[in-house]
Amino acid sequence: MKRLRTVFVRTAFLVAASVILFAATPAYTAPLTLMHDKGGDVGWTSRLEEMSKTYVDQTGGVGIAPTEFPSTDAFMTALRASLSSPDPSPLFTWWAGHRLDEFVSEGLVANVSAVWDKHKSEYSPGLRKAYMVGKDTFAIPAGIAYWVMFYNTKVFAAYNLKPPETWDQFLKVCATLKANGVVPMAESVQGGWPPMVQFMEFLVRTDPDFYESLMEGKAKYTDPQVREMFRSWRKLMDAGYFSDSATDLFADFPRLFGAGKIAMIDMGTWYTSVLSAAGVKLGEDYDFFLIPPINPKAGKVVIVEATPILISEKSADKQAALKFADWWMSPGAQAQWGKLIGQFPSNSKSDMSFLEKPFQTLIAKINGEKYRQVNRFWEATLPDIASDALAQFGEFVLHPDNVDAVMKTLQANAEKYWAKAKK
Amino acid sequence: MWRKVTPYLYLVPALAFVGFFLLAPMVRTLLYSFTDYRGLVSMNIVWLENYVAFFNDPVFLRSFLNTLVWVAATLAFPVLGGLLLALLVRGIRLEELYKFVIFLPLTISFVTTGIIWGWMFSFQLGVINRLLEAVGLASFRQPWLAQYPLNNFSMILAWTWQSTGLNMVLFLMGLTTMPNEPLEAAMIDGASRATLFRRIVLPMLRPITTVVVGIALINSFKVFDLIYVMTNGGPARKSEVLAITMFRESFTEYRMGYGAAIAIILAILILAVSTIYVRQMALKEER
Repeated sequence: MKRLRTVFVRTAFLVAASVILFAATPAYTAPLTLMHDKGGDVGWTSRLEEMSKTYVDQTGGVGIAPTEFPSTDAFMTALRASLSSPDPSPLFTWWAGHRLDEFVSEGLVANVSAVWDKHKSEYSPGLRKAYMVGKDTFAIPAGIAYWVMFYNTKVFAAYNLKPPETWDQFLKVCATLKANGVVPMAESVQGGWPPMVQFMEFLVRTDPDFYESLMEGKAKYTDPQVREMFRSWRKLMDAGYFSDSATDLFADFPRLFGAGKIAMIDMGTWYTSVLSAAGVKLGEDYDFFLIPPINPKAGKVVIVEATPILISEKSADKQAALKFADWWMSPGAQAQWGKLIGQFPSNSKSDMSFLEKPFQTLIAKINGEKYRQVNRFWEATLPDIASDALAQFGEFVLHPDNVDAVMKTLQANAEKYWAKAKK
Repeated sequence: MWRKVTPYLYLVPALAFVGFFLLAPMVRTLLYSFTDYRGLVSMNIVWLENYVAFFNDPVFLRSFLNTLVWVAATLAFPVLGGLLLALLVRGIRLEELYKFVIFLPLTISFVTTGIIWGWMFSFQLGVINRLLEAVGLASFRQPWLAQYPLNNFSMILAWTWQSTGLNMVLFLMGLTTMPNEPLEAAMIDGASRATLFRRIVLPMLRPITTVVVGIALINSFKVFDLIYVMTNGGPARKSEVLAITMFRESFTEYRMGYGAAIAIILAILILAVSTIYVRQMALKEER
C-alpha cells in the first residue's frame, strides 16, 4: 500500500512538471513555407531568405521558408498536391491573370483585396487588374517585367541608328541592318512559346482595345484586326528581317546578340539575366527601347508580365501570411525585393535609385508618358487557349501561307474553351 | 491448414507492393480517364469524352502517326543495325574494342544523349552545320530539329546511336551460343553465305530475335526523354509522340483526365502489339 502511494505521488509529480515545462516553453512557430520554381540564374531562395530576415527584424512576425523546386513541372505537380491537402503551403508563386481562375473557382486562394485597398495609392490600377478575378484581388506582386526591344548599342552606333519612335523609323532601322548583313530581329519556334511574342506585340500595336477584347473572348481570332496583324508580321518575314526560327532563345541568341550578328531581341526585361550569364552587359553592349505602334491610333502601349505570390485559403497559417503580405506590399519591402532580384519594384512609391540607368530610363518613360499597360498573352486569356495557340503561332512562323487555317483553328479552340469556362 | 496457407503468406509482401505501386495507380488512371480532373479538388465524370476528343483531334492523330514512325524506325535501324554489327564484329581482330565502343553510348542516360545531340544539331552553332560549312557544303545546312519531319529522323539517329549497342550484344550472345554442326553440315552441302544466313542462322536466332524485337517495340512506343530534351515535341507540336502528348496534357496543361485517357490508349496499344508479336513468334517456334 505504501509502495503504491509512492508510485502514484511520483507519477503525478512528473506529469505536473511536464505540463508546467511545456506551458512555460514559448511555442515554436514554424516559418511560413513559400513554394516556388525560381531557381538557377534567377535564384530566389537566398533572396527570399533575406527578405524574411528583414521582415522578422522589423515586425517580429513569423518569417518565411522558401521551398525551391528544380523545374516548373516539378513545382506545378507538388503545388497541386499541396493545395489539395488538408494543410497546404501558406504561400506560393504562380502566374497572374486568367492563370488564377482555377484556384479561385475551387476556393483555394485567399482574397487579398483588403491588403491591396490599404496600399491603394501606391500601385497602378493596371497592375492590380493583373491579380484580379472578377471584382476581387487574389495575389500580391512579386515582380514586374516589361516587354521591350533589346538592341545591340554597338551595332546601332556602327550604322548611325537610333531607337525608333515611329513604325516607319523602325522599318528603316531593320532595312539598314539587313543591308549591312546584320539580322535585324530574333525569332524562334524552339521551346514552343517564343512565337507568342510577335503575336502579342504586333497585335497590341495594331489595336490594344481589340487585343483586350480578344483575350476575354469578346472578339474573334478570325476578325480583320488579327488578319491585319498577321499581314504586318508576314511583311517583316518576307523582307528577311527575322532570324532563322530554328535558333534557340537561350542557347543561341545571347551569343549571337553579343557578337552583333543579331541586332534586336523582343523579350521581357528579365532576359537581362540570361544575357548577363552569357557575358553581354547592359548599358555597355545593349540597351532597350519600346516598340513604336504599327497603327498610330494604338497609342503608347507596353506589355506587362506580372509575377504574383498567392496565399492558400485553407492554410492554418493564413492570418500570418496575410500579415506578411501587408508588409511585403509596403514601399520599403518592394524596394528591397526589387534590388535583390534586379527588377522594378511593383510599388510606385518605392525608391528606384538602385536600378541601372536603362531600367530607370524605361520606367520614367512608361510612367512619364503614361504608357498603357496590357497583360501578357500567357496570362491575359484562358490557359487552355494560350497553350493551344502556341502551336498555331509556330505553324504560322514555319508556314505563313497557312494563315487562314491558323486563324480558323485559333478561333475554334477559343470557342471550345470559352464555352467550357462559361458552364 | 496452416501448411496450405503459409506459402501464400510469403507472397503477401510482394503482392502488396505490386498492388500498391502498380495496380492501384493503374486503376486510378483508368478512373481519371473518364473525368475532367485537373489535379486539384473538383472532378466531374465526362464518360468517354476524353477518348472521343483524342480520336477527333488532328494533333493527337499526328502524335499517333509519329509513334508509328518511331516503331518502324526502331525496328529498321537499332534492331537491324544491331544484327548487322554483331555479324560484322564477330571473330574479327580487336573485336572486344569494337564491342566496347559500340556499347558505350548505352551507358549514358537518354537525357544526356538528347542534350549532346541537341547541341550537335543546333542550327546556328551546332557541330554538324559547322562541319558542312567548313567543307564547302554550307548550302546543305539544315534546321535539323526545327523542321518536321526532318527532326523526327534527327532524333531517331540519336536514338539509334544509343540503342544499337545493346541489340548487338544480344545478337552476339545468340550467335555465340548457336551450335556449329548445322552450319558445318550446310557448308559441306555447298550452301552459299546468303543461304546459310537465311536458312540456318536467322531461324536459330529466333529466340533472341523475339527478345530484341519485343524490347525494341515496347521501348519505341514509350520513347520520351530523348524527344522531350531535343524538341519537346515541337515545333508547333509536330514531333510529339503519344508519351510526350500524355505528359504534356497531364503535367504541363493539367488536363489530367485527358492525359489519363491517352495513357490508357498507349498501354492498350503496347499490350496488343507485344502480345500479337510474341504469340506469332511462339506459333512459329511450335511449327
